[in-house]
Amino acid sequence: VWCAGEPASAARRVDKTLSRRLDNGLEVILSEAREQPVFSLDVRYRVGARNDPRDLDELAHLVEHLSFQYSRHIGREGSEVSDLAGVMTNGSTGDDDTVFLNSGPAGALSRVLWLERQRMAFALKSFSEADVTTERRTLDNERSSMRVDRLGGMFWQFVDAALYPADHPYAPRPERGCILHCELRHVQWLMQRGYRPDNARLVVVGDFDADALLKDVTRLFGSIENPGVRLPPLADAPLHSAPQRITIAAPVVRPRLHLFWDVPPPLHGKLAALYVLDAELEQLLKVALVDSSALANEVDVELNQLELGWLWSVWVDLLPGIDPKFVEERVLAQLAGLRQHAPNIDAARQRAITQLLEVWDTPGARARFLSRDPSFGIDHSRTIAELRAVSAEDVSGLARQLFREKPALSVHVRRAVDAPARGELYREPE
Amino acid sequence: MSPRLAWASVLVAGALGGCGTSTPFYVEQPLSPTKSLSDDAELPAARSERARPPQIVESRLASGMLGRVVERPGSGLVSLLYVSSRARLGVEYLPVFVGDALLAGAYREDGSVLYPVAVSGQSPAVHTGLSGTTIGLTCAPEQFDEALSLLSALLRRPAFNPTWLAPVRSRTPRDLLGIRRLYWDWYLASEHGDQDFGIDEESVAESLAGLAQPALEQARLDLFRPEDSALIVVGDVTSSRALNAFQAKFASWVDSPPKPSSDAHAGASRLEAPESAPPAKAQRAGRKIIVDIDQDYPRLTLIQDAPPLDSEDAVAFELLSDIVANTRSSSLMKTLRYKQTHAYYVGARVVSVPERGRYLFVETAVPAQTLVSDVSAMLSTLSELRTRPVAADALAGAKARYSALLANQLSSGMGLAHYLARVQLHDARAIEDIQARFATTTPEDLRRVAARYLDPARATLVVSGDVSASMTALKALGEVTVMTP
Repeated sequence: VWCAGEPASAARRVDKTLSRRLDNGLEVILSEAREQPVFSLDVRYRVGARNDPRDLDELAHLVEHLSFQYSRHIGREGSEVSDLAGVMTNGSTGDDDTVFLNSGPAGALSRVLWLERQRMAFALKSFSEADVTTERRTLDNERSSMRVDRLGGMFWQFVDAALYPADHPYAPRPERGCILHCELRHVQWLMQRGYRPDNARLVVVGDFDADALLKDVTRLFGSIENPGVRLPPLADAPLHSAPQRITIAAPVVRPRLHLFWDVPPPLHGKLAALYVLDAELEQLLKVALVDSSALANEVDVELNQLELGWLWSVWVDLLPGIDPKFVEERVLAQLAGLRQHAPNIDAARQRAITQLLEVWDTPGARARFLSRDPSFGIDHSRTIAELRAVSAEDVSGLARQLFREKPALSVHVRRAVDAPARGELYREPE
Repeated sequence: MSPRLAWASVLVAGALGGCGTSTPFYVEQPLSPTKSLSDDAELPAARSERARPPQIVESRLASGMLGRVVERPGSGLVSLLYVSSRARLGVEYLPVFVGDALLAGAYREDGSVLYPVAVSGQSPAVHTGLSGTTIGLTCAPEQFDEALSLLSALLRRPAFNPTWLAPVRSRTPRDLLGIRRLYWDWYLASEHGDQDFGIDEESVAESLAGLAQPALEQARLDLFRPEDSALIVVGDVTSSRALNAFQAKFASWVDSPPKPSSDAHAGASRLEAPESAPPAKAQRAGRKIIVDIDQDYPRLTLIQDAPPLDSEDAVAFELLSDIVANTRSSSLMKTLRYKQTHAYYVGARVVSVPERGRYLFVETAVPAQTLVSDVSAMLSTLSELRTRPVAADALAGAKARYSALLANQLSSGMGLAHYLARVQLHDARAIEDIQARFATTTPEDLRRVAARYLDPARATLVVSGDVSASMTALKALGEVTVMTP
């Protein structure tokens, strides 16, 4: 058992955080937050869109829907059981993983743990072909209604297709394969391989005694066995080797610019510096593009810690009529300056620390954070010390390594009122 | 968080790439991965929990401005939230614009210029809504004085610098391009209440474009007054220190002089609204259906009246709305997901619209082919709620959920600050009051408010999407009006 609880300041109440891997491989993180009688519980399975077979896109999403709805012992009433206890639940499927989220009164935590155990251990037996048919329709509804947001539904399709070669696990699949063709056996195939203790992380944040809860969690989940079958290994494919440049014409209100860089694995160990670089770059670009020149409404810098390759992205929401190409040059000029010097290092460090503390301060956000990547932040006082130690040279040195080449992908979204709602894609030769 | 990671239930697939190698869908038997695990079916008990009310220390200045402080020692953060109940989205768009324009520079007490308006690179978040304006900032405890000075400067000595105003004019998330969306709730409420309300985007855009510094300054004096203001501080700071600082920064802020009769911004951004007070809600004879053909996938909003916040019925109605929608086992979710077999969400919210009232909005998305049967099913479900008592356990669940939501909000600094702001803006009840009312609300109360406020025969339905094929059938359900884009 690893324990972290050093207070951030002298008067801080000591909230304990425990981390443990059970014998069956389930990773458990329990983090006390005792101010209010609530909890947030996330169970994250490392199975997502990357595991969808080529001709069955959204299979992982369908399995999420099904396992969200049904349980062996209480059938579809599982949702009612948690609703009646005052618990809010949700599920989501990403490229890498599927997450089940619960939050509610601390007095309902035992029930939710029991329900999550049901999902992990028993849900597979509860589905029928009719259930699969119902959820295929629901999925179609969800997918279609998400698409109305002018390009929103298509943007990542275009980006993923440009970033990843066709055989990459993150590359888009042909549309609606699962919605049209999924059967019970496909659901069972994925669930049996993906929803297993040694492929999951369970995180609870809230008003409980961590030592006592660890005993309960071990009792409930420790006896769940892993099936004898595993997910097929993922193709080990890199990003497209040459930089890509695409333009999307769509009836959007404002043009946008998105730039992506690959983050080489050797830099993954410098997470504190990456966080400070994120804050520094965002500040630089905000001053350059929003405050000083009225080119943009908003700037966002993101570090996407995807399992099969981290991505660094810069997103700029431009004012109407502004040319994304012009702004891209401005961004690259700022990056060139940052490679030499980090002018706002004190503010950037403080901003990174404040952001981390804000996440830690909110049980739901803390649970999400810890379930995604507990290696950074679980001992948050140590993490804050790491952030404080980041120097200007660390940041500019990192920028020199990250931004030494052109972006892996440059995306210009241009306003075209007559373009189809889903947008038209143009590839530009580099 | 990355948009691609963030709640990527929005999983979609592309039109690129062909089929790869076929996957052998071998399923290991037995199906359960729990070969030796007993089928324990005993469901653990659950108990509801009351949110713990925060300890609030407050002080009111001679000007009427209120300071409220909640200590959260050790959080390492301080959240500051300024609240104005006067600067709110009403028949004028101006308060939204002035609120955002406050970020176009300010003068410190020593006369030096403050720009960009930020602490450690973080600008305050300004939000102007139907109930008022909030300006919020979270910082480290050692930056508390700097953050308070910043709030004081931008409220009392804004620069409205024309150059810095340029990005503000476009940056505001509720900018003129989105004005229809900004007023969407207002528009729906007006339609439901049969109260005329129009938005002339072009004239609003023109008048705002012509607003010069003097007019903005006058508008600021009118809208941001200490008597209608409060400052909420939550975090790692002692109440005595916070209130002393509050006194020092705001005690000298006194009411601005009365607005001159020929003020510079009169009518500058006024929307098309009746000059006189809006008429009392008409008791419409039938159902009203508004079709907005702007989007391509049908979204459905059903509107009903809701009781005023200070009404005896308000808490029971909130609980009823939770039972109607919002959960997977709610009445409408059961209807639309399991009977109609496709809805993936049904949401309900009670919206306060100044000068109009409070309304229940029930929202979902449904395929065009089943729109009419979905609408019929929704109306039937609401009708049943008028007569069929709500089960005691469903009510207990709704109470527990509300209490937990409240406790969740109170468990972070900015969440707590925002809840106190909502109370200040008369958009939420005080924590102790709402919990006391939960304790006494019965299933019979819910049946009574359902019978009183849920009235499917006089509901307003707003359908956004391509529903041309359903028009004839929709007309059979009520009076159809097609919105002009």
